[in-house]
Amino acid sequence: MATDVQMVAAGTRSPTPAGEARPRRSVRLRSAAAHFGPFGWTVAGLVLASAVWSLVVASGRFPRQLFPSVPEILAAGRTLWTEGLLVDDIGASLGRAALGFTIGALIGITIAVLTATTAAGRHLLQPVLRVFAPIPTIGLVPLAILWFGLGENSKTLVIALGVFVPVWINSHSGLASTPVDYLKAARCLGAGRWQTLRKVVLPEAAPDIASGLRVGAAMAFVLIVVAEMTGTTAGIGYRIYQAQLFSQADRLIFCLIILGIVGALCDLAVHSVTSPFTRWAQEER
Amino acid sequence: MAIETHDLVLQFPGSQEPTLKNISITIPEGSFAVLVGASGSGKSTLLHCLAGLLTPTSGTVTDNGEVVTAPSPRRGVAFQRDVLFPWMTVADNIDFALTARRLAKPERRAKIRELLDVVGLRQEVAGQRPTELSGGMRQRVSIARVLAGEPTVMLMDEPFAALDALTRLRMQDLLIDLWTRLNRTIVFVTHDIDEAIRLGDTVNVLRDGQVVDHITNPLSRPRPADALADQHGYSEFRKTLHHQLGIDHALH
Repeated sequence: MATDVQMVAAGTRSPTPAGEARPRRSVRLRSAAAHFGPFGWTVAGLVLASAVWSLVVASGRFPRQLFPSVPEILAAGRTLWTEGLLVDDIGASLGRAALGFTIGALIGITIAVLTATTAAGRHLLQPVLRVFAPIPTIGLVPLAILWFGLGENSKTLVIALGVFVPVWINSHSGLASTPVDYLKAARCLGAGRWQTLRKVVLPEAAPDIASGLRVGAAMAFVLIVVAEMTGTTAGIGYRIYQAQLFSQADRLIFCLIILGIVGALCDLAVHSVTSPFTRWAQEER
Repeated sequence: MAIETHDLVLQFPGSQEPTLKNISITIPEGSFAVLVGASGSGKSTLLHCLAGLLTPTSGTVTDNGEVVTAPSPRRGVAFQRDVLFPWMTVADNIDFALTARRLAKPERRAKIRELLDVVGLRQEVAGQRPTELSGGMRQRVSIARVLAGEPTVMLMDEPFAALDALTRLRMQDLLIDLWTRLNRTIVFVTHDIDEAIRLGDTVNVLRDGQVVDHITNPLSRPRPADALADQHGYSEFRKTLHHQLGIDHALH
């Protein structure tokens, strides 16, 4: 008895059922969180963002026309869907982004191989590209229109240039930093230049190339909005621009959300395509 | 026929004095030579010159009478770090050397099986990545990859330095076994005196970039690790190596 009193006096938690309930609940919460999964967390995040937005709208501090409610945004989306515009817009934007991304990524990786592994590339191309890289791609839009007009070619060029820069910078960084020991080992084993490039330098740089591709894919979606503001009648960027012209904030916000979702899905696609080539780096950590 | 150096001097750009100073050594074909020395004595640099990875400032390295100017699979190198390519499986790592020799695919497959067997690894290891293997297994794969190049000389730069004591002894046993069976010339760099005594037929002692002594191992083979100290001549040989390495000066 005296011992019990001392325990309570010392602040020691007694083993009562009430005392046990707290850790059990936290364990249950943790286990529920673990079972939630990435999809569950994404949905929870979106619900939270909607709730915050609804609170802002409900506060009445901002004009309703510029800050539409969540149901109004969804209704604008439904209208786009029923009018058949949404699928066409997504298709048009995806097509342009994919073409520009493919061209920019291929050129970026090829040029990176040249600048990282050949003396001519290092001496001739690298200084030019270092000057070119910091120029904002948006600044090249007028030039692209001047050269190729308002058609598809100027849009593809703008996206390809925007993708090229991060892909080249990341790929060059990875390709130029192959550990010397790997190169020495390859030379001692009798490997030629081509075998060393294909089997050592490129796979070793794969994580950096993959990072460049992911940044490039994100850049493609940034530039699609800019590229589609002129000279087209379909595309998410065009729809955003139209919504702005006609003060349709609900439609504009819905299109931005769609752009975000499509961009995130494309990022997932790039990640899943590149992950077999980069898995070794994660295993090594 | 042998691998030889004649008045080899190597000075790195910007350094005050040469790392290697007038080194002339001969390593006869089929012998097991050890280069022993403290850190910074130039033993790894000498090995890199023998491999053709470093170009001497003056003097020459000859392999079988030919001047060495570049690396060749004829002189296989096992590095201190195993340098296996982590993005490849064990089989692909070995295949890399076989592809460089332009062997046909079926021949390469058979050779991979044979080499895994030679270095004492199970066939199931072929599909694993280096990250899944222990340090000892990785070094076995590294040796298999060197052997895939069909070298006549194996240059080994402290390959067991990072391994635990037990694995190290096992790897020494494997190396002695390979040397006996395959009749290759081995040049082995170490800073461990007992490892030098156990493995080498001849021991070249390096100090401050110079070969200060070239000693024939007085101990007869086999030299089991657990009975090494009991062998006749062990203490004298060890004392000589200590003296040549300058360890007695350092201790007093």
